[in-house]
Amino acid sequence: MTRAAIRAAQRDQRASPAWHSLVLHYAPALATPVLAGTVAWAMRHELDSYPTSQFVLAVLVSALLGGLWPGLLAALLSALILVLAFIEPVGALRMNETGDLWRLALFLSTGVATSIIAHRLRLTRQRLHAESADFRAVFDHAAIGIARVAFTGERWIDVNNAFCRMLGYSRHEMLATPWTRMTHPDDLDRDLILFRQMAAGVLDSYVVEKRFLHRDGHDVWARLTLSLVRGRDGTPAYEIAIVEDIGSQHAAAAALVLHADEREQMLAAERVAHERTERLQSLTAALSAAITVRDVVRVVIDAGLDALGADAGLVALLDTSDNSSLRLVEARGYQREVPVAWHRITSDAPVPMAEAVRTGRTLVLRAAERRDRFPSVTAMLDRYAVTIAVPLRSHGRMIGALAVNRTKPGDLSPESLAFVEAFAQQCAHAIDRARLHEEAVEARLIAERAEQVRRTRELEARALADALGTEQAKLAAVIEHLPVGVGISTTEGQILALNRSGLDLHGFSSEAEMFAHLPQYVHEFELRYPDGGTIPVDDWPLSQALRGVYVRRMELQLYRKSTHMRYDVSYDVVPVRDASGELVSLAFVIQDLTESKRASAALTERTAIAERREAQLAAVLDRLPAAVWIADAEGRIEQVSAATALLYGAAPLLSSSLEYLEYEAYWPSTHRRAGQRLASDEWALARSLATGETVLNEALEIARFGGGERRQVLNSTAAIRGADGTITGGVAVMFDVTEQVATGEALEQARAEADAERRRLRLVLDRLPVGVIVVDSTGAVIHHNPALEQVLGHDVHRAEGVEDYQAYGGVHPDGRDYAPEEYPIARALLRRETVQQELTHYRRADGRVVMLSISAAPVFDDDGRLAHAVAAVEDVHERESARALAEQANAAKSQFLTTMSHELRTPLHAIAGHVQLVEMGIHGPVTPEQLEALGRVQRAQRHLLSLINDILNFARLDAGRVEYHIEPVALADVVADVLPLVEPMFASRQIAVTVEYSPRPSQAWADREKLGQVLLNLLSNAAKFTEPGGAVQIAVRSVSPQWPRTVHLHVTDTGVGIPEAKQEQIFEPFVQIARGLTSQHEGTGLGLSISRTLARAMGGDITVQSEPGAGSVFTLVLRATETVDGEPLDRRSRLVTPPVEGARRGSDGPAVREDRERNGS
Amino acid sequence: MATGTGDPLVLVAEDNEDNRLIAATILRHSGYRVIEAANGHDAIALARSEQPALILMDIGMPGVDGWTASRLLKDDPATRGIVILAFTAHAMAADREEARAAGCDGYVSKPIAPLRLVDEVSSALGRATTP
Repeated sequence: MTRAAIRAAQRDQRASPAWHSLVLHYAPALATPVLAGTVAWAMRHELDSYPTSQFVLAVLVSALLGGLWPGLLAALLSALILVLAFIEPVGALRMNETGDLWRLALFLSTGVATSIIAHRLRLTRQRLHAESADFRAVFDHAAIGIARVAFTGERWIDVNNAFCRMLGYSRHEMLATPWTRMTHPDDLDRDLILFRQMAAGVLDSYVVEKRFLHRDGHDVWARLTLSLVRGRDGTPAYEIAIVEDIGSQHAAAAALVLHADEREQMLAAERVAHERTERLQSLTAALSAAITVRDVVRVVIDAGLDALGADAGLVALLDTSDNSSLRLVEARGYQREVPVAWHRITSDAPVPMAEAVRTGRTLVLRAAERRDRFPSVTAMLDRYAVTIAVPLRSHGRMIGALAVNRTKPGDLSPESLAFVEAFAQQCAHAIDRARLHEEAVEARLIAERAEQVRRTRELEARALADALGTEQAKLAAVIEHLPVGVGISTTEGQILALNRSGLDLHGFSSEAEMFAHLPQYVHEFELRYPDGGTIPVDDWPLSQALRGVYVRRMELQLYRKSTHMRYDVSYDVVPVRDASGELVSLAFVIQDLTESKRASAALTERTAIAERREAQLAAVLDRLPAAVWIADAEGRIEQVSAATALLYGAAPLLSSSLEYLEYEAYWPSTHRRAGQRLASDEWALARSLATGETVLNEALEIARFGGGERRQVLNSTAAIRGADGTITGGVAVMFDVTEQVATGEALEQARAEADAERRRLRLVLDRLPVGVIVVDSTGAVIHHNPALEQVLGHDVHRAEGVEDYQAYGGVHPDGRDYAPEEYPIARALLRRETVQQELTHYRRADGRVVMLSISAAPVFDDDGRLAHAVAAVEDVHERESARALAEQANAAKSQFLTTMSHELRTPLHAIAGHVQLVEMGIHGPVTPEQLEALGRVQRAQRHLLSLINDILNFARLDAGRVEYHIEPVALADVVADVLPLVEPMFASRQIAVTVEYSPRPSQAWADREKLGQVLLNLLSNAAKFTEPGGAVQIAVRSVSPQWPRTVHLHVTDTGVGIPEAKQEQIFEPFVQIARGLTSQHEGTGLGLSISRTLARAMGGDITVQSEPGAGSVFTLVLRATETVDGEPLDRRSRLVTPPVEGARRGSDGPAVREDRERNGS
Repeated sequence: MATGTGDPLVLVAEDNEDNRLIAATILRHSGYRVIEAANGHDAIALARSEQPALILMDIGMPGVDGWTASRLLKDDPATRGIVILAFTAHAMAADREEARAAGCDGYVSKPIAPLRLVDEVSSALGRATTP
């Protein structure tokens, strides 16, 4: 405050009493002399004494009251009145008398003296008054707050302006308000203690820093210096407070101290918030990319440990089959083994996660509490300071729990926990979505597989039943009429036989027609992938099988170029091995997939319906013209329909962590129609969740956000119950009154239908008569049906990965246990192999070894990634025993054939011997007629013998009793061996025989003895069917550039030739037998059939090129032991049936004879 | 054809009557003295008592089979000198080996080809063929 201002204030103080002072001071000065005069005049007789004293008194009073000038005025007035009134007529005043003069002088001097004293007194008073004003001004205008405080009533006695300003009150308000109400509550107690001590006189002064409450509510930091003022008797009277505003100083000081920390914290908090947002976003992205439950969970754990600052964590899901046990899906970071499952979460809650699931609440456990409440996990979790278990809930349904463990307590603030829960919520939704998807896929695949297994088994059973009959022909007939294509091929991929279905699939009317086309197979047929791409010949099923690949259910398209006929088929190839384990041929099964494709399409459609319903629910929420709320059991709103925002005027708050009680403030004000406001726990949704009641069309009025416009709505709510009847959530549907109410029920119904669909699929799986096990991409068992336990005879070990398969009881025939990766399901997983009905010995828990047939297949998701493997397991012990019996029967048959061979031949040999004795004349002379008869007997005997030999040979081949010793054989040697045996025949018919070898006489892979047999047959045929005088050429052509892996042996004759239509027939067995025994040519007609069978069994083939009348070329094709360049070739090198080289050579031969069929009579 | 006592004695051991008869007839016709045995037991007894120059030994006789009989005779110094030809339908290399192992001096394969039989026997006895 400036000096000038203080002066002005002082002036004000002085000027203020002017008027009443004038009246007060001068009125007595005028009145008292007049009064005294009047009294004296009335009593003029006594003038000599009374008037004087009266006047003196009047002057005295005026001087005292009015000061100098009123005193003087009163004295003069008194003197005047005395002179005027008392000198004449009364004459009482005698001027000449000294007494009167003295009296006059006396009261004049008295008046003057008194006036002067009074004046001095007045001046003193005025000075004091001015000083008081100055002091007051200093008090009021001091730069610091000053106050006087009474000890009673906690009130200010006085406060100055600075103090008032400091607290924002007017002086009047200040004085009307107890200081206790202006003091910050936190400081009040201490204040009161000091205040009372001072009031008691214990303290005389103290300094304290405290917070006052500013009128507008903020804190004001002040330093108070308090001094006690005592009364005259020494008792405390009041206290004086000097108040300094140290707010800025305090703030500055605090800022100095806190600035760095605070800034750091703020930045950190901002960073954390930012990171969390980012993490949730990246989690969302990662989750949406994960398809399977396992993928999702893995993402959750990976992201979760990082995001939640945890060192270990796991996710366990409720087993959907019983809803009462938790199964571990994925664990990370634990040093110890984590249990796989926790059963019966509802009874005893032995682990935090189960407790979280049971109560539906997040659990935050510090080590001590965890030890007390969950002693069972102490061993596992003792190294962690904090365990957080969060229930996973999706669409109001509990699906499992997430648990994380931190070695350091970390951030346990409500925001952090809210983040954990928000995180869990995201995860739960993603897991649920993945599970729905997975279950649909899984159920579809399993049903499909089961159908295939059932069909295959049916076929097998039928074939087996028939095969058990004694007649092999019956088996052949069954095979012939099987509804699947069955064929046999050589190890070179040359088809030897194909049944009717197989022929049909290829578009052939007969086997003969097929064989006629076989050399051009690769030109005539194309195999295509299911998507239409051409399969290279090297990857054809037979080619793959030859490379040792198990070809099982290879699906492809069989396409015939000439007719554009196309079949979807599946190929199975079974290697056929002889007793020594040598691969001798390949059996293959071609199945028409048209039917099964149709069935699978139907299944796909059903799954699509279920998925469509899910989508419909989402669409309903999107497009429903009603506000729909879906809450979980705790009332947390999980989903709202898009229309909610329209109805409410703003999007309502969705929160994973707040219950509706907690965010009531975010809801629009809700009223009954009558106008009464509803508390949050009176809302219909809350009632539905609490009591399960269904509320239909409750009439409500809501005030919209922003503007508070009233809307009339009908509110319907219902509880959503889990399978066990407990309330798992609720749904509220709000319509503008104009809308209809049916949607709530529609929603329920759609949900129920989707659930029913899933239950049906699961039921199918559980009722399958075949054991089914499903593992995820890591090999962990995720499902198996009850039938599996029946098949295995004990509980199924829930393997966590392929390595756990060790625990299963697979044993090799030699008693070795299966290595984990040898199990069919492991092969399906690791090698993407489709295993079809593989026989496996299995040691059950009771020690009994049974025979199982296991089929397994990898399951890929829509993106072609391996998602699961599934295996079907059947107990085929009895069936296999039956098969062993059948094999024994077969062996008996072979033994029978051998015996027959001996028994039939012995008497024939005897016949020949005796005839020879007679012919030699040993028993006496023989006539020419007898000789001729003996000749006929001998021919008949030879014929019968060759018939029996052929039939026995054929039967042996057919029974698979023939063994082959494949080795490199020089063809020239074989020719040299065989030629002498047939030379007599050629010589007797004057047929010229020439032999020609290629420049590089090569060796072939063959059985030398069988090769000789084949060559002998070809040469005897050439001798038999070539007219006398003809020519036969034997040519060994080694590897040629076109067919670099083969050796060809051509037998070219100039015989009658074979019409094209019969060129395949001659290789069929018994062709000649059909014509009877009267043929001019000997033989059963089995020769070529046997030869071809032998040739093919050795990896080669026999083909024929012929023109009637121009002769024939029979070509024996064998695998070469080296290429034309001398590179060694493996005996399994691939052979593609070549077009017969040198076929035309036949027509270069001698002239065409009569147009007579070679085999005709 | 008549046979004299100076002609070599041949024992035909064969259980099949036809084969035995045919072989014996041919050999007698070719100038051998022939005695016959229908089983391995008789063959051993006759070999010891009659000391034939050659035995045509069927392998597949009931009772004591041809291998066993051959081995017994070859082990016995008294009969070791008798030439034994295995008479077999199994003209396999393995059979030939087994015949050698059992001590047989050669083999004749069935069915009987009269001329070849005579050739084999005479060459085994170091004699010229006598038609």
